[in-house]
Amino acid sequence: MDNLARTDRDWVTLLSDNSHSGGVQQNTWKVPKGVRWQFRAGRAISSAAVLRDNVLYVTEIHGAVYALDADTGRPKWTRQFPDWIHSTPAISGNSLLFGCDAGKVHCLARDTGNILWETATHGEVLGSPIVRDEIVYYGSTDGRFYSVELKTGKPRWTQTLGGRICASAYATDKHLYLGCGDGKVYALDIATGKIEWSTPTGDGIDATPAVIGNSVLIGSEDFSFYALDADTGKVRWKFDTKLGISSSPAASGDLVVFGSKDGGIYALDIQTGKLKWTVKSGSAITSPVVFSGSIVALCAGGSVECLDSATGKQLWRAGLGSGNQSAPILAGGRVYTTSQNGTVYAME
Amino acid sequence: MDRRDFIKTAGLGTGALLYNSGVSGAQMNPGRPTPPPIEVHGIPPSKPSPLGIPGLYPGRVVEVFHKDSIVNNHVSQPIVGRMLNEGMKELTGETSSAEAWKKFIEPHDIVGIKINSSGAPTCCSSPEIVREIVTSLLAIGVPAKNIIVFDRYSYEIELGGYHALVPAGVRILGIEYGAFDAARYDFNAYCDANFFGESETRCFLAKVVTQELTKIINIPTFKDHAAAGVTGCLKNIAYGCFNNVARTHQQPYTYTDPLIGYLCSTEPLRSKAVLHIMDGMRQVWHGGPITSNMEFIAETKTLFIGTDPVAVDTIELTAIEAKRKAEGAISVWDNDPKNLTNNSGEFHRNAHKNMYFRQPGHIATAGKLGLGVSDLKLIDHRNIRLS
Repeated sequence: MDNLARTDRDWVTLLSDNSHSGGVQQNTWKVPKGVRWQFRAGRAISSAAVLRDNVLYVTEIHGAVYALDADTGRPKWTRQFPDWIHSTPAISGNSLLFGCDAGKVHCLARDTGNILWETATHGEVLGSPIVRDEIVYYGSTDGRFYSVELKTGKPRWTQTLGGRICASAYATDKHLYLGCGDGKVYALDIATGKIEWSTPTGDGIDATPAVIGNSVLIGSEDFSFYALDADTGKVRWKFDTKLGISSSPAASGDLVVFGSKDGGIYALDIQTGKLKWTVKSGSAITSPVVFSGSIVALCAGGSVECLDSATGKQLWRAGLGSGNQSAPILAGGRVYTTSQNGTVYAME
Repeated sequence: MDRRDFIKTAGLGTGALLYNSGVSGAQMNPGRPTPPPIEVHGIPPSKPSPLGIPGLYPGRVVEVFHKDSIVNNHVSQPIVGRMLNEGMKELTGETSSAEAWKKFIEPHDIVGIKINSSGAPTCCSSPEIVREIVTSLLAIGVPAKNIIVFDRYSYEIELGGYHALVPAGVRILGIEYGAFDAARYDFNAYCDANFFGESETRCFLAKVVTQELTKIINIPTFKDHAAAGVTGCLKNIAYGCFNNVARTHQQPYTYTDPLIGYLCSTEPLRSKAVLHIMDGMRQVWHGGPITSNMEFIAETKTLFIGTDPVAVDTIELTAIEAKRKAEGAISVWDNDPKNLTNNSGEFHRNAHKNMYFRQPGHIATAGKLGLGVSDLKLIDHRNIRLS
């Protein structure tokens, strides 16, 4: 696979790499002392950035795609598309992939920004595509989940599910796991798209799962967080919060961490679902959570913050002055994040 | 310019309108300068629609209650569906909900469902109600691709989770992502007024309203409002379909009265807004429109249905004022300068504080503009209690 982070300076998909572990590899964490650079796209940014070979790739709501030098923030290239983009890009080799609200998935050459191919769906592609073994997987709000070839965009299979698909899937060598707007968690055969099992929750799902050991970990808009058996879909445990959960979890060791729209950040024992710690934030949290060693990082209420994963104690926080619900990147001793006011920050 | 779509408010002083609503202008607007003239520049339809505001049933409001419609902040979609069906039949006099819906919507319509996502995630239009409305539209032959769930701010829609929670095939549209993004507004439909010396004096109507939709179903929430007094049907389609409206607030003054009424009277918004279904599952009785303080949010388990937004909002205003009185809070009409605060946090914690001299009189003003019935005695208020 070429969509794994090669070094601790890479962060090639929404949650670091295709394992969606959220950067659990041993990054060297340093408390940032200030802003190294900031880049103003000028328009809002809803997605997270991705990073490879010291280049940061950012999609902006109004259709611009930027490749920024990670040391200086200067654009290496920029490309404008006609449609809105909510999708966080994904990197595989020299390919940069992202969806758009008009339903297309674009594949660009990462080094030049040139278009390699495009495919279409009948809804919006809001989530981040994932790549495994030269195949690209993504869902659409048309209710279908798609599989296409990385090199050409040629279709492999399509599977129709019961609702809108807004978040990314999690891929293993045999299965794709994903949540759907119909409230179900699905396991699909990665080769054929066949539904292996589906497990209902009480409302739609807008979060990307994590898979640790044999557990699929995912939150639902029904206010609960679930651990499902990855082979059967059977509910192992569930944990209730006070509002919906669209924050994608991160897991490390025996701990899974996620945010809730009730403003809480929750850390649970993966085996039992027992609460280890919780921290109350001042605003709803929809940002994915990421790990870096013993650090948990997320965006909440216009700031990016880092917590001690053992206790939830706040170690560092940077107010950005604007809403921010995308995942931060912790890589190469820096924190990169995007903001709804259209600013990309690099802090170190 | 057609005389019908060019209205000057000169001579239509808010003080006089408020006097007519039974409260003197001096009491209502201590120190507030007289509202400026407002120029309404709409795009009227070639033939006025009988479905346009105040619609087929002026003055009629159907209130439907079910005690199990929301429990512990979870809305029951099956119960809400039943409430909606019974309410629609009561509103129209039809014996089936499908026939009731056909009074307003035809299969070829492009239907906009105007949600209120500004209080997300604590108090916004319930996705369960939106889904039941979509189900009703599909049942009478409107294809999913002809249904657009929309609101002004894309990021608020995302926070509410609507993009995941409505049926596949239905479009979700945020008119803008953030401020100063005018690309999706129609420069040919606007209201123009200079309230506080601002540089841009026009509020433009969204293109989706002027160019794409043929009907709008309005789904406001049941909330008080720091500036307008309450936010209901009128404010949801006014401040939620036009841009550059926040400029009407400058502490402690606000010109939500009279601007809300004039925005709602602007064509083609007025002609296309054919049905108003207020989500009264929850009632925010203080701290609206954006609060996460559950102390001020009650589970009221109700839908209000009508074609007359003024009548529905009048019922809403009466209910919120009664709740505030029962809770010992100051009136939404309170104009005591001692109760003002410029501390937003204090306002959101303390129901004895105001950030503005609120303007609940915007509802009566809208009534004066012909948008509906604001006299409680003239409102045909029907109650249905389901179990």
